[in-house]
Amino acid sequence: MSVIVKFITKSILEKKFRSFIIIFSVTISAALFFASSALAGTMSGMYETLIRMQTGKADLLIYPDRESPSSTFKILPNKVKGVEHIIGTFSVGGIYKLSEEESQIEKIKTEQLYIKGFELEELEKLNPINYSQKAAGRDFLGNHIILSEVFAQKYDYNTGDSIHIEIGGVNRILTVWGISKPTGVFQHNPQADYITALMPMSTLTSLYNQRGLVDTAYVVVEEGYTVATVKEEISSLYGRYVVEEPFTTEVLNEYLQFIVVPLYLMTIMVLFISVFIIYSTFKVITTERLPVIGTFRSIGATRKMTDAILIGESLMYGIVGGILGVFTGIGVLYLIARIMASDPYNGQLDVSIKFGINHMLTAFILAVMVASVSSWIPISKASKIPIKELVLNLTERKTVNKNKRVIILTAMFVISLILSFITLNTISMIFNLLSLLIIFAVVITYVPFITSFLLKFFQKAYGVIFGNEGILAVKNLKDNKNIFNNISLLAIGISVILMINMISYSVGIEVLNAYKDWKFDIMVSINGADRNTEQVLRSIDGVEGTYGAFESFQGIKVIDTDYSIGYLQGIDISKYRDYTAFRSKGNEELNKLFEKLDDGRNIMVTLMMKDSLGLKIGDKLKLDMNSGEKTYNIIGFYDSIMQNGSNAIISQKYFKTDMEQSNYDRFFVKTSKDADLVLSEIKEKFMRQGVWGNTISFMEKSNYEQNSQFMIILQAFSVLAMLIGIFGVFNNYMISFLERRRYIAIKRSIGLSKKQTLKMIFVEALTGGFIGAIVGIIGAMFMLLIIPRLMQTIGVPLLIHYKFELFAISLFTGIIISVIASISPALKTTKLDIIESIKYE
Amino acid sequence: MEKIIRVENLNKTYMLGNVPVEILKEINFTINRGEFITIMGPSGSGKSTLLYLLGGLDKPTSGKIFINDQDISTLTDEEQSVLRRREIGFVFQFYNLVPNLTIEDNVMLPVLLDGKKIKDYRHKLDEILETVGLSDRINHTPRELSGGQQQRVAIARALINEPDIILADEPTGNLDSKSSEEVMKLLQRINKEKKKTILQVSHSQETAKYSDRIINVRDGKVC
Repeated sequence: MSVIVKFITKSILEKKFRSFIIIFSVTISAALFFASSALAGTMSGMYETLIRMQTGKADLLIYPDRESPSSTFKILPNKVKGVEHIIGTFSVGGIYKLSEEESQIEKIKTEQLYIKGFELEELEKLNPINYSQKAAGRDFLGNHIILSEVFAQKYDYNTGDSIHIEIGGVNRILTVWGISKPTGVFQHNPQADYITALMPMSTLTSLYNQRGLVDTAYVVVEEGYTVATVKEEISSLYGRYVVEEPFTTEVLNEYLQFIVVPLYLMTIMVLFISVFIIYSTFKVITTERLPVIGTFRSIGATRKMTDAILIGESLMYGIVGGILGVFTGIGVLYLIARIMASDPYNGQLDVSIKFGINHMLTAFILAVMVASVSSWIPISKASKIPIKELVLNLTERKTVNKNKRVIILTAMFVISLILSFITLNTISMIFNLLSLLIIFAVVITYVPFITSFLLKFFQKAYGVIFGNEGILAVKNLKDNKNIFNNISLLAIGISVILMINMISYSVGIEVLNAYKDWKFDIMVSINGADRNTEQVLRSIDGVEGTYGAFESFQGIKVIDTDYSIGYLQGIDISKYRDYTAFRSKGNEELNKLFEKLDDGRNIMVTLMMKDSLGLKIGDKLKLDMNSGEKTYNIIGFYDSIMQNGSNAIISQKYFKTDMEQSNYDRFFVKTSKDADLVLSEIKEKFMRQGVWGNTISFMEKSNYEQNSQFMIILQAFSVLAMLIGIFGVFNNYMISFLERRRYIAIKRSIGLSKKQTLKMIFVEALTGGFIGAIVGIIGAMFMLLIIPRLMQTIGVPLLIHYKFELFAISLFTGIIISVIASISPALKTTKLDIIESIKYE
Repeated sequence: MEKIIRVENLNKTYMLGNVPVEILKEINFTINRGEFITIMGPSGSGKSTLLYLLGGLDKPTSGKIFINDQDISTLTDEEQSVLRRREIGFVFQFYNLVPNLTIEDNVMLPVLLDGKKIKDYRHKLDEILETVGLSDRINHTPRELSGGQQQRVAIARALINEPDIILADEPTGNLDSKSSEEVMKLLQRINKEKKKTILQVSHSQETAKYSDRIINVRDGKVC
């Protein structure tokens, strides 16, 4: 046994570059799988940490919503079993007016404060404050305030200082009792336009005549009790208020699915390339080992023993790659988490990765599986060779029926493609995935045919362009398995990288287009906004026009289906199209359709929603609205990707009635002056009322950044896939050189000069790269046909935009990689010993 | 008689690790145009090395080799390649054909390497294949031919550029007696009819009888 292990180890160490490529492929596959599988948990942990910053030890929150009788409530004296503490809070807005000097530096006139009211002893039990300064010997009460270090440093405040803050429209003189680091309840989001401060709850509630009332309560569950049991009891006590966990994984997991599914998809692609490289390398390994296997067999080794040598070698690669893969995976996971940690909407998350032994074990098992499964076919073929043939070196690879393979694969691809188009969601997703994987196999199988086809054209052209060396190169390329392998590797690598870049480009274009659809400059939301608010808004200098939007993002359930409308708008038909581009796909004239909306409970839905629910004009949709179930009649369809294509419009009139809503949700504002300046004016004007808003250009930038972050990860995955492919190409060129050494020497012996040899190899590499890139582009085109369907099944609309430059870059990349990979073997051919190489038989 | 090959004080030494091994020592001889020569000697005597030096596949340690009065030991790689294309045709023991090329492609290789147009040599190809008796195998690959047929393809390849000299390294060394006889008769016919100078390396008296003269090499010396 030790002889076998020694033999395997020596074999691995002898061919360093080849062993490196196999181990690298296995490592990367395992690492990406590890990172993809542990990412959901890591991200979920990071978001939980962020939320826990605010909610501390709380297991449950109680707060009012639209259905509640009041925006405040009283903490009931009833003793609830299992509750350790119930801690209430009362929060208000405050305004800090900057001095002239400060105003000039900061370029704002006021700083908005979010003042949380807590009783300090209670807060210490829930979420202790991390002080950087604290008043000694005085209780936290009356006009005391604890400022955030962010605020204190910005405006130079220390403990004991007086500060003027406007609360509830009245200017109050407060004393700085302490300064907190920006953690816990003081956690600061740089994107937010407010800074947190803390005051005694009794003071705040008195100012607002709400003594004894809270707007949120935090419940800490006693040890030994389950959160679910306590939640049930509290829910019955606070019947009309929301009682929920501060952090629910379900919603987050649904969001993370958009990130994790594409990562898994990329991992599968990388896996496929690795399998192909290991498979083709093991074909060479088994061929090389045949004489040794023959020797082993001739001196009494059984077939099992010789199989063990090859299987042992592949297992060794799997084990080493698996171990390295897990460690690399931890690094990859950390990098992804770091990139994803900068969330433009929720602020910077603390990067802490989360994984378990199960993630490590599955990645390791996958590595071993990849190595052993990929090498199994060449090993089993070698195993079947009779001992006589092995000893006499009479083995010749049997030619497989390629036509049969091509027909089967093409049929499988076409069938799965058709089935993915005619089936629904889950099944469609499986067929789409299947089609995507079969594309790789189809590409590999078609490479010899496409190459032969193209070479026919090249032969004539090359004679003119490159002379006879060109013709010779074309002849060498015919039936050269290593060149076919190279073309396949290049093709797969290029198709993956081109696909990702094209998707990335398309997403960018779609984001731009989506924002282009908005024909206004600012989106603003004002608490309790009504017609009067709109009048005030219009009076602001620079506001050219406003549209009051009635919207619901709460997810309106379509009765008798699993579908919820992510975004429902109640539109004002007279103005809506002045503020948004509306792409109707109905036959009727748009004006008439809009008029119809006002005529009754009529609805228009997006094309994506139409596809998901299989709708047609005239169908009825029963919606679960605030006033109960309402039936709407479908009158038309339109094209929109808002809320991932899950949106619909009804008349404003019916929206108000059915959603029992009288206030505007948001205003779309057109400006005649710089949008940022106008927004600042609006914020100042409605500060006391509560205002939130952003310019469209800012929203566009944030959205673009968020997409870019994710696309960087996908691009990195695709680059790794390409890198494995490139190493494979380098290896193949070297194998090709070793195999062709004798034939090159023959040509040299009959008059091929060194210069001609170099030229011939250069043309071969150029052609191989060109064909690889062309096949890769074709492969990418097929993938881009499938990917949007696949994304649609997970609820993400994706319209592919083609960019010519990306095709040109792919072509160029293919050629460059191929030519660079051929440099080393080409130089080796010039140093070739003709006599020794010819003698080699 | 016009001297086509002239060898003067030729020495060849190889390094076996750090030990110098003298393969050829002070070789001198001349060959006339149109001669059929057999270089004979036992294994390891240096006869193949001598042939490779004459073909410009290797460089001598010292001494000179003149082909058509040109010293080939001083030629550059490019010039040596041109020499092998135009003035010398090689025939090897193991035929050395390119397996994935057809018989036509194999024979035409020297034409391609010489930068000439294949279509100009179509007629010549037919004529040579007729001479070697393989006109009906033009589109076959070497794998589909017997050893004797493959060696005849190699001879056709050696002839396509009409070189003055054919160098054959044990041309029948891998053939059965019937095929050997066919190949030797073919070489003899080429020598007589096409007036080609032929140098073959052999250790068989049977094949040597086809030649005009024998040069014996033993322990690196002509004797």
